[in-house]
Amino acid sequence: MPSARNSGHIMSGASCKANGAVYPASSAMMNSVKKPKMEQIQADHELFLQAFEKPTQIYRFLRTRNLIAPIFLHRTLTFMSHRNGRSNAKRYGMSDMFLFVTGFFFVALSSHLQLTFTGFFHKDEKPSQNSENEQNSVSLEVLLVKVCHKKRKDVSCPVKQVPTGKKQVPLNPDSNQTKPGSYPSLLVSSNEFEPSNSHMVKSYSLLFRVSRTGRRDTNDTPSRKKRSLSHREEGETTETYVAQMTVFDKNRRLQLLDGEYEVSMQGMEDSPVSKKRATWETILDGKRLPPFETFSQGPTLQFTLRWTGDASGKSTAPVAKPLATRNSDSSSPMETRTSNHRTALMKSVSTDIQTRKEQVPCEPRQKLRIFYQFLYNNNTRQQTEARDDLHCPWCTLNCSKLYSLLKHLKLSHSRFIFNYVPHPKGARIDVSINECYDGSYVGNPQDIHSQPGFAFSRNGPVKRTAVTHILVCRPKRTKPSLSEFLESDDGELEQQRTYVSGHNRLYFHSDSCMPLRPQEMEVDSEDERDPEWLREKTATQLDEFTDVNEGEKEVMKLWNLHVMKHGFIADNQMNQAIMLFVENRGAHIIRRNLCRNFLLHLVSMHDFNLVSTATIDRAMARLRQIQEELPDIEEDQQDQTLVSAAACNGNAVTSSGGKQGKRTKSALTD
Amino acid sequence: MRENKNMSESPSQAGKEIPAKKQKLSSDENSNPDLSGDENDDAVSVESGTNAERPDTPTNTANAPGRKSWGKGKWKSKKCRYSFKCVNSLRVTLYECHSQGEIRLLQSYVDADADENFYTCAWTYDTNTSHPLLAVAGSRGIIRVINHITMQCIKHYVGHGNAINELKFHPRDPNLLLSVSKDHALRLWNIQTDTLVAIFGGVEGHRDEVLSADFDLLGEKIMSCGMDHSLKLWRINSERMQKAIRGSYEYNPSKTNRPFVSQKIHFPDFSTRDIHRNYVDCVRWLGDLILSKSCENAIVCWKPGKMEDDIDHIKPNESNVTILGRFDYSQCDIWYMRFSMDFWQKMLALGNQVGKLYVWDLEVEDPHKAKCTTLTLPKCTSAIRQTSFSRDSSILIAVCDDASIWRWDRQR
Repeated sequence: MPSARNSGHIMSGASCKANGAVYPASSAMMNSVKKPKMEQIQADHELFLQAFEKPTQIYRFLRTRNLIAPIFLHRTLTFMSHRNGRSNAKRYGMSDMFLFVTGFFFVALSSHLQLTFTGFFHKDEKPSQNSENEQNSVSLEVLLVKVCHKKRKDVSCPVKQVPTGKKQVPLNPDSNQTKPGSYPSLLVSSNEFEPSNSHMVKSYSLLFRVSRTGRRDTNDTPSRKKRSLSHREEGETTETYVAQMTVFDKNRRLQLLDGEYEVSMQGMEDSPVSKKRATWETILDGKRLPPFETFSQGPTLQFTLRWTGDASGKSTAPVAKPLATRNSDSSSPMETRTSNHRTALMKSVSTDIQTRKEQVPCEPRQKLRIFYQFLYNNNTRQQTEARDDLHCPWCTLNCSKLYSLLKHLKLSHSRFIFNYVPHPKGARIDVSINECYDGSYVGNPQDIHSQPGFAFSRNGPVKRTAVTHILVCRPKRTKPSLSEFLESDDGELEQQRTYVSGHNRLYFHSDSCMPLRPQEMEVDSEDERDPEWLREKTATQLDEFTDVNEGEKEVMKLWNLHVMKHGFIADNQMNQAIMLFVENRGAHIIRRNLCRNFLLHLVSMHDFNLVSTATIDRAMARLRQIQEELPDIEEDQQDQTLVSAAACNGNAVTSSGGKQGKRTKSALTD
Repeated sequence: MRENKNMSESPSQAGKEIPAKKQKLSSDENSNPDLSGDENDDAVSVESGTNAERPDTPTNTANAPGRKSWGKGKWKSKKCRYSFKCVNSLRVTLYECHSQGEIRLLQSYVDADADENFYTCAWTYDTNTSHPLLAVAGSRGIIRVINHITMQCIKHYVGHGNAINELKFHPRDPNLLLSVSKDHALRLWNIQTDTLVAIFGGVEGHRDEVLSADFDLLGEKIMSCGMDHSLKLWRINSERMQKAIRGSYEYNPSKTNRPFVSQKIHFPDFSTRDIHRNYVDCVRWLGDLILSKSCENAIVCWKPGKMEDDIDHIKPNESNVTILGRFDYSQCDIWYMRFSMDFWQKMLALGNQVGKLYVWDLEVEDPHKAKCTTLTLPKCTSAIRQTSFSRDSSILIAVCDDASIWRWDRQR
């Protein structure tokens, strides 16, 4: 490598778009090199581009495929857990489902919304700095806002506001001082949520309106009318704060579940809340982070919400679905958990923010710069910068965190080697080609051959080959640390090992060359010491002898098949072989009247010094014993002749002779 | 012999045009794998043209019978009602025969593997949807089943150890597919349950490539022939085979972890080497008689056993054969030349290596007197590998080594 190049064109390249893939820009060439070397460099650069092109194309393809037909979901990966919107704890177990069902009926019968207000907090005053009562409480009005379905004549959705009650709520109470029972509480009858007469109600929400007279306003009465009068007449400093929370959204899903709530209140001029201009925003979007400071500072209203079966009674099930007239969406159980709620914020024009007490911890957004430095032949060829962007350049996956990004790159794009280098402005990732990449199949071996016969087309889902292996593996998870991505000196090879082990190939049946399904692995197709064809062949070959009689042939066949079946190979096994033969085939020999043929066979074996006379004696004795044990041998043979005569069939059935003969006989005698 | 039974002496218009136009269209259509919907007459020659460009398409050079190089570029055509198909090299092309001698190209399928070289095809239908299905196979030994309604390759079967030389469907069970392979064996597949019912071959099976096989009219037995000069009879109406076929229908791979046990039939029910003295490359049943040919310029009509023996009672060790007649012709001493019969088994057609077509009318009392008609055309000069009749015997299709397709219409 000429040294001039090393110094020359390190920083060439194009910047990366926010979610575009990184492609090494070919135009980026530096010009400070001497002219003769130019061509060589150009060629070298082409090689570099070619080297990176193929994996990039592959990952582009895989990205698209994963979008269309995902093999796995990124959010299920441990290092991508932040992509998961819900936690396992929120999942519904079976018992919860039952609760849900029972709860449903409770609600359907009678259920009231009980609100118990803990207090109104506003931090620019100290709690109970004044001993006066008026200063310690604010007036709270709760209205039930019903947004109805638009009728044809209506311009906008008709909104009905039903006042449900007014309460005095302590201002900045000290939680230690106040007894739990003394909080003001309010009950919203379930009747209110029933479908009303004239307009079909689309959604219900609670509107909290807190009125607080200014400090100097000393004579305050709970009555709102009076307050508003005084407000109007005196023009005194009466501050009004509002907040709105949806009880049932337009899909009739219950949004407010049992739990403790703290609602951030907004100072209101006089504009009524217009639902029309309400928008949904998510926190993680990052555009406009909600002012969490309001919870420590600003006016908030704390209350406990319960759905109760009766006016005074206990809480019913945590889940309640209101008279599910339609659209009983199954997603509502997801939302169900007391005091641990999703963080989707509703923001209306008057910017009343409702939020729950617990927020997902959000990483402080920092302007993170990631420099992808493409290395080829140990030289930097291109540097591409991604600003404030933790998307994977190859598959545009938003990894949200640097650690996740690195982990993802390492695991999902292992055709490259990624090395993390800390950088003052963010991170530098050195990208090089993984020369040791193992391109062989690393997927589930069961997937190689799932359906015999199925070609490229699969219309709809097909059943996978059913093989169940339950593998429980709980590896020790090291704490996520960016240091694992730093270039290591020795451990490089170990890191690049494939993560799936096992047989990654397809096997075939040895006798038919048909693909072997994984579950057939245990069925041994190679057990062919005496395959059927060999037995048949042996028999037919013996049949071709012309110088032996039929009885001899029969014994020879029996004997040869016996030897073949048990695999006797040595002379000294013969004694044992003969005794086993007598045990297995004795009855058959007797029935076929082959005893003398068998004896002849034994004698000829003795002539070849294969068996001793003692064995012959023992074998014949055993044969005689079997003959005596054999029931009604004479009779059977008689029967057989009868049968064969009756059936006009030359081949007497021998294998099942005994019983069949008897049955036939009885039939005949009957 | 009635005159009106003969094929027309003049070929159809489409047949004439094919060789003339093939060079013209070859270049621009070469890259288009699916030419379905191309309606004009020229489309026929597109297929021909692409094939002509392939450098490995065999030329008609060797006339020594049994040259291995002839294994390439085997042409086959099959008809299904009015459409027929044609396989060559790595393409499967469907055409439709219209009246007035028109041939339309309907669809063309190209195998993903460039090494594939299709040799054979067979029509069947899906018993559930009644869609016509097309099974094709070739040098890679993989059987592909194409549904041309959905335009998909719906199934494929691997298992054969080498090239597949012929495919045949059971005449009465559209799910039973017989494949005949270079691996010395025949296989019977059930394409409904994707099972291999049986393998015919082994110790007493063919000792060389199996080239051709045929079911008899009732689908009770199979006659196969091959490079070992032998013809072998395999009965599939035996209790063992019937049980295996029933079992293949009952087998459900998702219900069991056991593999389906294919029958290994090592012993044919009859075998002879006395009919031919060279590669036997085509065999067909004609009732209980058998027509077979080798590269000896004759189709032999024969039967196993003696004249009076019943085919169903032939013993496996029967050594007699009775030759009943011969259909002689000339200039057809290369192998892999297939004759064909129409559905009613009244006509027999065979091409020779110089582009001549022989058509015999079998509907005569004495088979020796079957009248032979020779169909020739000045432009059709290369070896006609395959012929096929339409179901109503009105159209005869012949395919040549020079990638041309010829259509003959019976005029009366």
